[in-house]
Amino acid sequence: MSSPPATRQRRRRSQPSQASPADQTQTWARREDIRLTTGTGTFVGDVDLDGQLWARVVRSAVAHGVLVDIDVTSAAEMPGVVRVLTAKDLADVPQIPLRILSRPELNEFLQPVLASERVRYVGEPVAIVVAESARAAEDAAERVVVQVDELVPAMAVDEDHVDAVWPDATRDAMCVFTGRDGEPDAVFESADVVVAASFTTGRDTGLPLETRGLVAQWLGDELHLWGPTKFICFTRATVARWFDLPEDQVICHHVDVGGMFGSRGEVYPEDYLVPWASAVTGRPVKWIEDRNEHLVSINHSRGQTHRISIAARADGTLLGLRDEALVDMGAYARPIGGRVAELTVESLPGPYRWPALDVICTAVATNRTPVGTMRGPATFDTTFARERLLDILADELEMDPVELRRRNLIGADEIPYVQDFGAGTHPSVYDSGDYHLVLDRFLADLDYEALLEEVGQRRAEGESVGVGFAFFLDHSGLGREETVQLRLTADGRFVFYTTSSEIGQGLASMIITVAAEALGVSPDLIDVVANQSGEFDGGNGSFSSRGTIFVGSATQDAAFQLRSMLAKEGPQANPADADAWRALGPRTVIGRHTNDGPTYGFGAAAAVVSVEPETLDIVVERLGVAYDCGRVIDRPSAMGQLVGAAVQGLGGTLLQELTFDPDGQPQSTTFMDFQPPTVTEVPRVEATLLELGGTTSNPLGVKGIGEAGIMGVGGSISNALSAALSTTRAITRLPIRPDDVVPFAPPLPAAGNQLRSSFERRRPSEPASRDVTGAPGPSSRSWLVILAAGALGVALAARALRRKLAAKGHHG
Amino acid sequence: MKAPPISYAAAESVEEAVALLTEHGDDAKVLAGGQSLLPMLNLRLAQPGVLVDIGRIEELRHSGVTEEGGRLCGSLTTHRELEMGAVPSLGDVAVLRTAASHIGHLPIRTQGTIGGSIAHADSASEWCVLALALDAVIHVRGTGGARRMPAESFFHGFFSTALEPDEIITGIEFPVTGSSSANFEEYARRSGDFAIVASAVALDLREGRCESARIALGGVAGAPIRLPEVERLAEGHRFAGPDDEAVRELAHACAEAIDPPSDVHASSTYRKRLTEVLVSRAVAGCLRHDDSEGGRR
Repeated sequence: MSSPPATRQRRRRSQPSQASPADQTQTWARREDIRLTTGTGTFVGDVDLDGQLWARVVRSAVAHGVLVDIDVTSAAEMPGVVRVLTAKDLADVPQIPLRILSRPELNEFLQPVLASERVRYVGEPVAIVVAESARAAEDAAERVVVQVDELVPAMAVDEDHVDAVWPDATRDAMCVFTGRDGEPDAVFESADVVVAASFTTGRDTGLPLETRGLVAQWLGDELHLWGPTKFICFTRATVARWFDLPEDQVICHHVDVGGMFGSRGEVYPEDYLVPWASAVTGRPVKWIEDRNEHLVSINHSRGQTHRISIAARADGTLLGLRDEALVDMGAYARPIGGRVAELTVESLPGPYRWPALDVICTAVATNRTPVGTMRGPATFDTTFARERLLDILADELEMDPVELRRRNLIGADEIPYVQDFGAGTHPSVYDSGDYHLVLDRFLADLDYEALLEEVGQRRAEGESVGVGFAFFLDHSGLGREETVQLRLTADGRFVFYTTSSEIGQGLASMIITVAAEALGVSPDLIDVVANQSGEFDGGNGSFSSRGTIFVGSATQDAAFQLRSMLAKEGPQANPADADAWRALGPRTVIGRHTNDGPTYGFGAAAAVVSVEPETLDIVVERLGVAYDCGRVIDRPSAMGQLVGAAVQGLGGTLLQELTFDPDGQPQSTTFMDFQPPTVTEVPRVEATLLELGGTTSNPLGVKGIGEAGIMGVGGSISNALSAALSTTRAITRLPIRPDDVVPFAPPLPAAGNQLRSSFERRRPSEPASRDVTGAPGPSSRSWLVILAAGALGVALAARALRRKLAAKGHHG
Repeated sequence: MKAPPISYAAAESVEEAVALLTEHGDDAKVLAGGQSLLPMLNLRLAQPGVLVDIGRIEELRHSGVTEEGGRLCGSLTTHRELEMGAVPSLGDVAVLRTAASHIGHLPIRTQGTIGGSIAHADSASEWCVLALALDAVIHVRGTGGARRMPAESFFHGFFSTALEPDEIITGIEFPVTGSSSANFEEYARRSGDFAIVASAVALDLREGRCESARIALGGVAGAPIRLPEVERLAEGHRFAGPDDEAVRELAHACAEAIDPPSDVHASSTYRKRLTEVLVSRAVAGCLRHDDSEGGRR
């Protein structure tokens, strides 16, 4: 795939106007970025303590089996090795607990911090080596011999498993969520038209620049940690429970974080293993995962199957939505519990009126890496499935796909709108917005009429090019409560402490902007200390695009408190007067925000996609995203979130996938096989960012923006590509590979026969043969070796490859 | 992702390198630009005992013209040098620059060497495919002295070559065939990735008549391959130009002749399609060059 060639860009009449140069120079300069992009940040990898040891996790190379024995003798004798620990060194093996408790039955599927009886995915921790250096630990880890009686890996979500991942569960179903509203049976029976299709999404994951890592040190009864992020209050509470400590004796120190994306910062086995290794050895222990490990052990996401159908009237009025969804949960329930499956149900209806709804989502265990959230969890998948099917419906009804959608969008006069799901799933309340207005603005920015004309003309000239849309609803702001601490220092500076995390999303800039406005002081007087529990340990964390909603609102509350304290000092106390603040300080206040329900923001994505007729290269010529975020606090951060998410979505739509072979061996364990888009594959993302306000969920009037940009990308690109191929049903799976296009692409021009007939004339004695001896294909075996060798720790395959390489050429 | 413990020896001369390789045998690996070997070490896919670094051997950087008039490129010549046309004896061979420009990213091209690529023998390697199409001769030296091996008999299959454990590549010789026109085409989904399929074609043309053709493919088998039977189809044909229908036929015959593997990146079917497209473009490119430039290589 590639971004559009320059000639194509020039051809485009409908290119919207660019932001003026002045705008651009103003924008991209957040205070926190300077430090992080000039090499002066302090990430967990930069933390080194006196006397520190290094840990290396030994991971299962087998997807499914009974653990027979772990022989650490040889590893323990390696130079520099201090200890090699397995589950046998633990009286009770702790488990990774649930954080989201909506399905308590998931407690049956928790992951032990070290496998002791069974291994259930490649990459599952089975031992930990502690050594004087990272190198020594890695060398010794290779010597740990893990003996497993292999079981048949359970890879399918829609077939019975020969050897169940969880023999006590029915058909490996971990939990089920349903959504039922209206009279679906009657609606589907009497509708003018019913369309149905199946859609799947491949596995993907967040790709923080910085892999996971942790440094642990015991000082007396205190456990000090560097590395937790996202939701450090939960991490801290979990670690405290594991080690039987009061929570305030687990201290999470601030470190910078190189990206989170929903996956980094959840509680993982290493959050126990590293402090445990430190306790056993009596020395600080550091662990930094490599990218190879990262791709098999961080939460995966996506990986859904939808059998979906829509009932509608002939005029395009939507009547009913039905879906049987299967979510591949991987081997264990991770802290996020059934949230991805629950969100699948909740996000399916999207921004439309559905008189009837009938959705069931089953979370199925497989022998793959466990699943958690990734930016736009479930909504990316459900938007793809629903919006693809809406295009199929539009085709069936011979309607314009945008018009079909517009007709069924929930109107501004219907908001707040309640989407019921029946028993077992909370109703959604779409609190505010004007979806039609957002759409109108988006179409105007895209110069839609001109675009359609241009694309129509190109199609008439024989080009494979198409336009596609996907609409979505982004819910944001879970987590109910947030507190921040504001300290006014004696010298008149304002310092905010939060356990939420600055993960590159611009939390610090947001806090400074909100606080400067509320306090009436210069932003230069305000500092932010995030991602720590040592100075202040209240609050929740960074997830569900809640930072501005919750931390921002709590910040404003704290600032207002201080402001009213200043006002009480008398009319002469002016916020612009630094002396007045100095006189008031030092002083500390706690700002708070609470709210029960999420807020819903409407958005749309649009794509123009063409197909190179010979190579079938998929060219995303234009990619646009529109979103109403209520109010923009820090424009560079907001635009960065929207555009960055769209680019990540492009990766999940066309390139990056975590694939497994039938034996459960992960095949995407390096960047040779897991291929995120680079700058040469990404078009300029056109963003329409609206501030329609109206939400009552928070005093700032904001909606979350961290995930909106990704949600409609899969749907819009796949719709555009299907249109380009003139086959509405063409694309049914993400990510899309050229192979998926082959069946719908025009065949290559027919080849003549003049060379062959002339050849046969020249050599009448030789039989005309199509067999070419010089071109033997590789045996399927040798390719298996390559693929298998990509998998982490597949010692056997790697050894085979090594032998092969050693026996043959030897240059590098 | 750190390399296992390993011994390191830097050779100052070819003789010293050969002596080190003789001493360590299969346990040694030659380090040139390190762009394939070092990642393999870090991923622990290769665990040799000794690295023999040939990077300091000045002789291996020398390029020039052989007694027979062939253009010799020292094995330590980097991809970047070839891309920039910085090797005097090869500066006019446009196809080398084209092929080099497809290799990895700039840092990789700046470090990686042509000799290293040829010795590593990745099926999708630009140099391996091109060496086959240009009938390159691989110059090697070992305990038994110097050998010259035609590229056609050099690549044995899946990362394996005709090199003996005590031999290193000293240079790559591109023979001069005055009437030859060559072209290189490849396709990868992202810029800088290994090609899904790569194709190099060389045609010896005399007034439009194809005296002989060499067609090489990468990414379609365990090793880069030539398609001699298809090549013979082209012999004697007088191409009317790049749009001659025979171009398509030749490309189609290539696709028919191979049985490429399927993997996570592409199916066998798609690789065949790409083969047809890329060979067709490469042949047409040769004919265009021949048209406009009177037989430039």
